[in-house]
Amino acid sequence: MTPLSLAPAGEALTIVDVRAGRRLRHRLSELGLNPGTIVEVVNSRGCGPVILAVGDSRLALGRGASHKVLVEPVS
Amino acid sequence: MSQVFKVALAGNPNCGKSTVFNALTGARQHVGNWPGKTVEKKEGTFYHDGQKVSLVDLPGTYSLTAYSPEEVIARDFIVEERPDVVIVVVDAANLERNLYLTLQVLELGVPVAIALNMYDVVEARGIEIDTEWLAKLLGDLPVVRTVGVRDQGTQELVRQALQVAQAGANDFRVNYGEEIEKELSKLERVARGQSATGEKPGTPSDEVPTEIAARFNPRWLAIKLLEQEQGVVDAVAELPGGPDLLAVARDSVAYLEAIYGDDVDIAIADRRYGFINGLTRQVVKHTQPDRLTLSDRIDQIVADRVLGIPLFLLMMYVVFRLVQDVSAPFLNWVDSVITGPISRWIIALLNVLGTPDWVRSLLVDGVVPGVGGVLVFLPGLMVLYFFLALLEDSGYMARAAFVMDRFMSFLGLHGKSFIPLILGFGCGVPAVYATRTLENERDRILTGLLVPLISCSARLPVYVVFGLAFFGPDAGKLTWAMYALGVLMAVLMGMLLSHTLFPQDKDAAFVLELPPYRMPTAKGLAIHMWRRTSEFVKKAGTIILAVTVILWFLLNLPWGVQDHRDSLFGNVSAVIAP
Repeated sequence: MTPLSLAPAGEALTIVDVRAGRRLRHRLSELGLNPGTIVEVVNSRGCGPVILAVGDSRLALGRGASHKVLVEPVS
Repeated sequence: MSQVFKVALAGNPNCGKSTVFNALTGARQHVGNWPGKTVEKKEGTFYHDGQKVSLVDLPGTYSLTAYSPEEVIARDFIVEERPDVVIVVVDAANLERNLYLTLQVLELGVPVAIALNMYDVVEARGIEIDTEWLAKLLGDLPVVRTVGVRDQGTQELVRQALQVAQAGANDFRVNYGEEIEKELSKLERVARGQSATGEKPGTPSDEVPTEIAARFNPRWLAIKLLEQEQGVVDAVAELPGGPDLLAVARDSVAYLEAIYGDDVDIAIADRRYGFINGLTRQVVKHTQPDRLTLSDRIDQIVADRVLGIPLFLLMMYVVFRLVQDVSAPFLNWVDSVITGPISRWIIALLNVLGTPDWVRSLLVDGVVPGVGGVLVFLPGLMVLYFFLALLEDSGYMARAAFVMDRFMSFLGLHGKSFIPLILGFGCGVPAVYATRTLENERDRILTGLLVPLISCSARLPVYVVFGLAFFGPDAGKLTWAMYALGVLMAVLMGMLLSHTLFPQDKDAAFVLELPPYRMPTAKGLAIHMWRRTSEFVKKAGTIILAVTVILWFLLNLPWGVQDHRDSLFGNVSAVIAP
């Protein structure tokens, strides 16, 4: 289980947990980032926001938020 | 049937809602503000089969909880205005996420129809959606495939929406699990004035509908109370029977939390998502994240850490230059036409009519330059709005916000605020107007406050004159210093205000949707451009005109003064000046 901020790009990942305050969790949830959702990191260059592919949509997540989303490779 | 149908359009941002709105209302739309807010309100009318329909475009939201002004507006509209039907525009390529909002609209109890929009994209990607099964699973409501930009499916959508409007409220329910459902029934009964355990105190005819049940859909209210949504709790507390209901709700929440070992609202959200997940799996064939799409490839350059910012600055420079280059000749032309031929014609006309001197002066020295002062901005504005619409409709704006965000956070703002600030270098008026594209109220106000600090082009002559007067040959340095000072002030004020009067939402972490790049349609661009331009003319025209007239009075009274210093204005200024 790693934070999204450290996850490798180009791999299918499942969200395991979102460790954030109520508001942020709600915001991420309504954008589709919930435990069980499959995502893929499109680009991540070590610092700055991460671009995430969730199904057919693309989300940009700031570092702070991406530290709080925990993922696992899809087995 | 002579009634007017009231229809509301709801949906996620970027789902093509505006395109559907435009396709239905065409030019018969009106843009204003939601009362007391800085969020745009779009209304329009159209006829369907002889039936008049009034359409309101609700702000784009991802859900209907009360975390942002947009959500509050959307939800309040549905609850209080009670539209006959709400059409939820869903981005077919993003069904799961869009359904989250749809579910919340359905739970409000209002009749719903779904527009499965941007269906052409879905087809192009080889995705199949079982529309009929989807409709069934959502409680038999109409689901119509539409392609907003091609105006396909919109008539069928309206036809089915009006049909379902006449059927009345929907009775769709998500099953939240035995325990929660039990508590929900309990709360519903109390809200309706019945006893919590279901034993009715008297015969059914004794039941008087409570004010609470009249105002809110009981089941929706029960769900909100279990989620402990503050806004709803406050509203209920003020109604008769409210405090009692709230007490029962508190007990329910405590009981459920003991069972689940977690916040009730999380358990509820989980169920919602579970439902949507299950539904989507049944209805959509193929849900894997796409391998790099064309949009992704473009983003590899545009949203790149190193290239992104210079690219953005380049783009802004191009826009800025184009606006100036295109508008400059017009500015001079419009100016000369107004002070030249138009003034002459008016004078000639007035002479023919024999109007008194002062009326003529008022018109020619006051009104015409006042109106002219507004018209002079027009060509530049139109070009500006065209580019803004282009940047936004194509999807680039989101990338700009993404790329500039880190820098903007020093000012306590997001990347999107960068654009109005840049526009401030050209002219402050359209720059402040550009803040309307920002997503939340606090950002709009804060950015709008910073814009005037940026040196707009009208100040240039002043800088030059002062520069020559005091610095002679070094005038250029003064001008440059003034521009730099403006930027510095904006940054400092931004930092100051963000820490004092306009604290930034701590939890407002940077989360932004990057919509796929799209080819903007000519119609869409034209409508955007036209709408913003006419808005500007109407609003600015009245205020600038009024101020010019007032100034004219101050400068020209007492009547007959030759030297401005002897006028009212002059006298007042003399008192103020040292």
